[in-house]
Amino acid sequence: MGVSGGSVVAVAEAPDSRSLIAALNYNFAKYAHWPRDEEQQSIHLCFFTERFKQSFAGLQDKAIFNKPVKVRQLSQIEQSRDCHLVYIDRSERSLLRRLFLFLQDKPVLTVSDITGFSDEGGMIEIFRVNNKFRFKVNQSRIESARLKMSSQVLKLAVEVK
Amino acid sequence: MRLASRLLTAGFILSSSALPSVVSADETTPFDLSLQQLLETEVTSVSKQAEPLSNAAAAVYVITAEEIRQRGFRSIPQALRDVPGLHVAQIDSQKWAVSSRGFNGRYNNKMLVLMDGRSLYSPEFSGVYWEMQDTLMADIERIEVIRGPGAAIWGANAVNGVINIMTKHSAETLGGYAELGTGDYQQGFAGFRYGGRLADGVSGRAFIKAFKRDELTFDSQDVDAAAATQIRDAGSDNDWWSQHAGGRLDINLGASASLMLSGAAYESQMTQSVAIPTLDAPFQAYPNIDSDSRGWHLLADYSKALSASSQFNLKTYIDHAKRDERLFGFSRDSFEIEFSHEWEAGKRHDLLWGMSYRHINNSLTTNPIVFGTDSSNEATNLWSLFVQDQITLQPDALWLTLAARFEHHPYVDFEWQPTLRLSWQPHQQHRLWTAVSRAVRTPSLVENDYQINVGNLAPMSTFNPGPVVNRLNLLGNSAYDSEEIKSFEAGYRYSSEDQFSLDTAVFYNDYDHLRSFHMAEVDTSNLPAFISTRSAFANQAEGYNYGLELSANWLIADNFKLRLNYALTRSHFKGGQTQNTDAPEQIAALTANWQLNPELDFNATWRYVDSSDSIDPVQVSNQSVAAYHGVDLGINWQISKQVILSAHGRNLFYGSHIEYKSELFSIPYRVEPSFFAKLTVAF
Repeated sequence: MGVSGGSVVAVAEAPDSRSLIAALNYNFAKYAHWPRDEEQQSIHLCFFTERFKQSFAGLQDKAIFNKPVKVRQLSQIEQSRDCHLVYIDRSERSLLRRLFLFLQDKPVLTVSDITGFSDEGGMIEIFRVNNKFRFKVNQSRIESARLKMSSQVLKLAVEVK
Repeated sequence: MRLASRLLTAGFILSSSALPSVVSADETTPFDLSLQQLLETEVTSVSKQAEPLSNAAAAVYVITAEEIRQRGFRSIPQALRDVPGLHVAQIDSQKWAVSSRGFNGRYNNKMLVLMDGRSLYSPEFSGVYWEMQDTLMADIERIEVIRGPGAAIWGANAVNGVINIMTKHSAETLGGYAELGTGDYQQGFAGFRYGGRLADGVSGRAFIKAFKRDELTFDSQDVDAAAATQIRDAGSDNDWWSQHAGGRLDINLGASASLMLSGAAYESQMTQSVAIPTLDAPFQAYPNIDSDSRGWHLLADYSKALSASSQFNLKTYIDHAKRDERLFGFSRDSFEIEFSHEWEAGKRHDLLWGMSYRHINNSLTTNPIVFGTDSSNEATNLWSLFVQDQITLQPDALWLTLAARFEHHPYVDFEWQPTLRLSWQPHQQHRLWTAVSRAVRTPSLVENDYQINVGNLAPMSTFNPGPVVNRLNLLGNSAYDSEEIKSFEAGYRYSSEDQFSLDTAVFYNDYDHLRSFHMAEVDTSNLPAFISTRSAFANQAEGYNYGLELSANWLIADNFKLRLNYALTRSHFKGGQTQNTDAPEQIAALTANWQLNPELDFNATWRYVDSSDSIDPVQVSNQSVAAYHGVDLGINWQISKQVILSAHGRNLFYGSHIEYKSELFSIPYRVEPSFFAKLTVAF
């Protein structure tokens, strides 16, 4: 396993796949640019289900370009208005139509592990191949939402369209 | 009814998502890893994180796709077998009896079953033909089992429970899948599915499957000597084969709308023994006959978001089912259209309302045993309107749900089926709920205007001192009304941080206007050949039952899980019983799941089912089935990335035993230990 800059040591408190998903979201946010992002005071990372509460909690008050990260659990789609990034997990497929309709013209980065997410109008789709996480990027959706994603992310994507 | 289904989403099972062993230089969190490092982190074993507790103010249990795969369930009744509070019993090779909270039977009329929103409930005899309900088991996303009344949302006949079978979105089944297996009871089975992305935002899949299952054994000790001789002469074959093909298409229509189309067709060829009354001594015959059933359906389900807080759904299907059978043959065409709308009105109200129309056209085969008052086809129109408001009384802590369904059924006119549910979360780890509901079971076609010759009494016998045969006929009655339940339920859920979770429910059900018979007339017009005693269906029986159901999960180690499901039911019914009111007093199932390494998992289930009774319409006393145990074992070995080899044993270590004696026209069969091996290939 060729990990850049690390030796093979297992972490004492091993994180679960949900923490890894939260970490992926954190990385996507690090390499994303929002319109007028120099004016933002903080970066809001949002998610939908209770299931991810514990994992996302670890991101609270981390920083992205010196701006503090604020984590928020959403219960209604309208609350996604103030988010920079929204993660929606696969148990919430039934919310997709309303979410896409609502975010159509808003600069909010959408991330999910729902299969087909990037085809259906989502921006970043996380999936698993042989027990490792991979992701696809729907670049045209990202651009039409006036967002920019760094080439650091795009070059690691399995698919960019 | 997406919202309803979402509201009832349980997720009580401890997570089976994977635990990665992260590789890094120092003790660190995944947030310190770079994107590239995250992508190189391997996910290796089971997670310790518990699923959040369900908010549902109902007794809900979910069978996941993962459990179906691990335990190698080959049919839907088998998957339901160890659900707490369900009594699942095999009658012969094809037939099953499935119920919750009593009233089990080949024709259990108090449980509604749906697949992707399509009703699988047969209105001819009121019940579900489990042998005709199938799909590729690997395409099932989840099976939600709701015990207790669900009629306020799902409609009449959801008296003691609702089972929702949901298939996977076709984006989840891309690529090829093949399965092939053989065993003793499962003589041979094969299934093949292929799914693909057909265009941007369009995915689909198609499957075919077929199986041949061996018969269950008839043992002459299980019937009286005269019957045993007749059955031996006529044969007791009950093997069968079935084939099934279908598919599903999911289409995105812009950002805000989606359309799902699905369809399937099946055919089954079955052999069965029936016990039918005759006019000549010994007044009962046991012919071994063939039956054939076929069917198909097409379903369309359209969803459109109107705003961030509002979405509607339009669903329609046509369904054809035909059963060529000497006694209970029928042909049915159903059409249903349902509109529903969910709307988050402000921060407090989550509304769901809708209406539906169902048209059913059915014709029953008329024969000397089951015959109609007129032979024409019967058309039934059902109209309904439903509304639900889930009110947040206190954010994240207290919810009140009010719901009711108004239905018009031609036999009984208007019915209203309300429910009131309260859910309270005093603490992150504890949930409490309670519910009060009313639901009805509407009359079947047979109960309304058919006659059934349930048995013949021999001349000069205990109950027929006269010199000629007495034919016992049950007479349909158009004044026969709905059966009614008033149900009181409560539940408690607990989850420790990571290792233990518990879901319990208690219930008290009060039943009124239950089916009874009253002697209508003695027809002597056929003398000297025979006389007929006709008893008409009436609503004079009543009673109550109460009980406790629990499901407890322990995550003993990262790779070892234990689950105990248990139900206790007590029943008190008055008046002549005309259905199997009493549930087995205790049912338990203990399941262990052990992931030996990433390639090998092992599961074992021990179950106990208490003795049960079923009515015998001719005899005064009930037929009883002794309590039994059984063990299921399963092992799945991931040989390569594409190939899994599995072996399963069922009903082990107890020998052959009867699980159920059907209430009408059936002979008892014994379930025996069985084995099968299966090869699964994904490509």
